Amino acid sequence: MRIPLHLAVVVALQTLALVAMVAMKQWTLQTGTPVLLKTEPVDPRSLFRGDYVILNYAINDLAQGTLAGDDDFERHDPIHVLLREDTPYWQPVSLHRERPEVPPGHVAIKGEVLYSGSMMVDGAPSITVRFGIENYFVPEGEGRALEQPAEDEEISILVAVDRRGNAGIKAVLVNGEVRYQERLF
Amino acid sequence: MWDRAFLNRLRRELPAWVEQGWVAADGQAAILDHAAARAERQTRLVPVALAVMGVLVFGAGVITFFAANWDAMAKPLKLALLFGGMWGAYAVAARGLARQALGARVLGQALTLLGVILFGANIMLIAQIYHIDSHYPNGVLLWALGALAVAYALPVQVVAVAGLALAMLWSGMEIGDFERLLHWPFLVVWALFLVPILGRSWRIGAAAAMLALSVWCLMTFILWSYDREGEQIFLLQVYLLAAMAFLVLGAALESQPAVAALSVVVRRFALVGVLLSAHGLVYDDLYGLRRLQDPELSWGTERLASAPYPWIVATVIALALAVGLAAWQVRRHGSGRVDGFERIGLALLAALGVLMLVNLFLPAGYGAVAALYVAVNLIVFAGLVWLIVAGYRAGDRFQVNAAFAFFAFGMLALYFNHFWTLMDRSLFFMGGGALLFVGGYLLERQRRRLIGQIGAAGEEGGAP
Repeated sequence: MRIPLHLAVVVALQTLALVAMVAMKQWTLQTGTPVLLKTEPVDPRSLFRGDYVILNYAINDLAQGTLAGDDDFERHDPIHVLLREDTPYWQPVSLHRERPEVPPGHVAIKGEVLYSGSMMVDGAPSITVRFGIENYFVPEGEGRALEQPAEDEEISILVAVDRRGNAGIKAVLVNGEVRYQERLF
Repeated sequence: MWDRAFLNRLRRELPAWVEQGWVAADGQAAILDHAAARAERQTRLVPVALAVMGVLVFGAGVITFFAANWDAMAKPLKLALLFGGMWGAYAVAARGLARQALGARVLGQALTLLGVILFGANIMLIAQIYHIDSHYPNGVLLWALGALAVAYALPVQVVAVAGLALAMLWSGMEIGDFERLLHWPFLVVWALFLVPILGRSWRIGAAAAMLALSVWCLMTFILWSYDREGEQIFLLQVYLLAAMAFLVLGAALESQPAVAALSVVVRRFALVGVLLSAHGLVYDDLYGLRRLQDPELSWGTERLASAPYPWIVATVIALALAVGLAAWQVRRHGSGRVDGFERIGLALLAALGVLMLVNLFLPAGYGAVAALYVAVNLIVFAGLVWLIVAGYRAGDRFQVNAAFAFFAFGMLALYFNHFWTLMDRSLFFMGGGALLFVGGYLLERQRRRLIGQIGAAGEEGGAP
């Protein structure tokens, strides 16, 4: 019976691919350095679209001239942003085309330049970077509480950054309290 | 259904035809047996088609039900449903494909396709469950690779077609959303799909592959027209040479019994590619002529001083490939003697090749570029006439029709390109109308005459 055997191999490959997607994400979450990032929704009313959150971090828009490291990034360039631990949120230190040396108390998060020079940040032309942590799916309706946070509520995101620079969302925090936590099951 | 009606009509009419002596008496039984077998095959396909539709509708219902209750489910249940659905579809497909009955095999193919669809749905849903927010075209690429694995493992043509459509979608996202000027990884995936298509001589798969390649070329050309308009002309040249190479490859397939059925598909797509690329060479703005003529012009393509180095390499490689393949094909199957008509074709090809090379290095001066443009146009239109005659000689109606159509498009393009600026507006419209009426009539009359002669020659069994 060659067909069932061939099909079994294909199904095994497809299953492995799906499992690998989950495993790689879990590896990042389990082994990565926890990094607290501030979200800055440009328009809080559009924070949620349908059943997923669009998260806009302070480190999404970076001023090229005011940060150390490389500059002249163009659209779709890969980029590594060195972040330094600070209180309460981690802060960008420098921009790099290649993965930099990471001193203690720092992480290098990997991303892709979405736009270059289209905005000004701190009086310098900025780049918009995507790190793959900008969307977070939430149960239907439960996101309403976060959609329009009260004036005294501050939303922050706990992200894990692994040693290759990949990032994943570990938890969504409201005023420092965990509201959603990412688990395998 | 139609074959059943045809069989009933034959049963009514045949006795009278036998009586008239139009059909031999022993032929009556043979005809009825043949028609009955066809009707029987069709009758068996009806429940199969209904079953396939049933599977798809049931699947849609299940997906909708779970989508409506998705949030209420725990992660393990969600994962069990996702993996269980995919494994179940493939398990039932395996049983169907392993059987000899036509209905079971068709059902097996439909469920294999369902398995591939569910694999794609699983990629998206697992990404949602675990907040995997990566470069999103990669999800479609993974889906296409899943379909590729199925196409390698199983004789299910529809999966190869679906996989090529997914590869095209993936590349379209990279080109359209991420502005990849030359998304060459598509060509790797595309070539991987060719292995099962050629190995199993899948005709529809071959058409899907050629269509996917054509759409990719078109998407790439459109992006270049926005980003690097001065280099469009060099891209067109490479397309033309590559399409010629495919034309030769298509002809070569004809002599290989295992893949001979694919020859006509490849040749037709390649011919349209040659005609479309050659048609592009008719437009003067691609050469930068408008801005060379009027440097104050704020629009139009700017002529580059010379082609960037990669274009020189690409053109030379494509030219060598087209010429090399043609020479190989002539040596393999030619009689060694080239007649006068074939010599004209070769001379036109050689002249076009030389002009393409000249175009790479021509300085940006109006006189020289205009001379090149006129020479290319003369050769393109002479080439179209040559293709019409060649199609007529070979009894190839598709070639005659396609070449006639592009000859007419080319003439119209030239008219609207040039005479607008040279003639008074009223004369322009009158002339255009007359060209459409008279030219269209003459071309259509000539085309019908040639097609009629090809048809007559075909019925007589001789060459036209």
